[in-house]
Amino acid sequence: MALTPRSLFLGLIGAPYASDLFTSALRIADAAVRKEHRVTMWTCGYATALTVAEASDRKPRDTLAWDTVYPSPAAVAAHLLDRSDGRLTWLICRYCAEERAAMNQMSGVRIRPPYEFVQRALAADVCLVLGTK
Amino acid sequence: MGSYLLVESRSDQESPDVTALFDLGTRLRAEGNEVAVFLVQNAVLAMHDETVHDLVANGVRVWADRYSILARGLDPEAHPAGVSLGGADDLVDLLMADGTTPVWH
Amino acid sequence: MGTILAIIERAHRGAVEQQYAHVLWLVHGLHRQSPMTVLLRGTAAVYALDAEPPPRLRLGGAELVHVPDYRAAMDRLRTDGATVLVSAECLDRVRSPGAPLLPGVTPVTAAEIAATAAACDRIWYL
Repeated sequence: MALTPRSLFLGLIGAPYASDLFTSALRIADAAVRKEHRVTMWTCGYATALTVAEASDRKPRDTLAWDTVYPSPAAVAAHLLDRSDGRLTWLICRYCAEERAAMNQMSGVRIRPPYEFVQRALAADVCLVLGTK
Repeated sequence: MGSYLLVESRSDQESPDVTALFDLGTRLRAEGNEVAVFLVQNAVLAMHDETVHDLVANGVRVWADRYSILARGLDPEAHPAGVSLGGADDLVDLLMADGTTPVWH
Repeated sequence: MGTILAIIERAHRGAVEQQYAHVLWLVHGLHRQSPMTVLLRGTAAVYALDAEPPPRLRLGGAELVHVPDYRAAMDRLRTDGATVLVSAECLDRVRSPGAPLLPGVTPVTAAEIAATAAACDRIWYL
């Protein structure tokens, strides 16, 4: 099914490490970008902490597989941004980030005021809000 | 008439509102809307449940995420009749179709 | 020291975030310090299934992420002497007829779960 490229706003407000929500959001963003849609990933809550500048590009070592490198969620986000040809925008909520000391974000992620959540959601052709606060 | 995409990510063991979402889908369909339910994450565990069978019987298009099925050690080829197997690409195509109202639960 | 009953009822808590560091990895690490009896319930009953290796996850044109391999963790638990139980009732909801279980996993009834709990010194939901 070939569709005209459109804009997609993904509002990821559920917490990471609780379900496969972040994984699903990434899968959707990846597929949408490959289909040449323009995607905005907006994170709230503790999802804002996934992309802090202090985050390593890899997870802590697995004592059972000492030499295996496991990319961090931040590294996966950076990879998607790098490979998106400008079709993926990653924004985080200032309120949520401030509350969680996550204001220092990695390159490529922009901090936006919370009122822009609704503005951007309504401005997009399609809006999907994933998870609950 | 409208078009709805209801993405269910939870098992009914995690949330009592799963059956409520399925009920919403059935009611929207009964009112003449096009309705698709896409099962992802733990919701694929309900693939064989009576509730999903009822959705299909009521004219709701039901999809199940192949990746979620495999990640949970289930057999994707054992999906019930009336349930289509799909992936992220299919979900995006449904999501981005003109005039569709999406809901994620 | 006694035995800890570790009840796992929530499954799949973040393939990208966790990769290797999922709840079964944690429980195995804890078991190496203090004996664990593991009970799988709810959506975590799927961890008892003898299934195919997990699917690969491709994002941004690459397979960066090591998706969680719960079978490997279950095997380590068994090898290191942990008792692994699964609620029979929960298993019936997720298991196709005849689908095999991983070796060393025992389905138990609600009555058997209660007896197990009574025999453990601590009961933790993890």
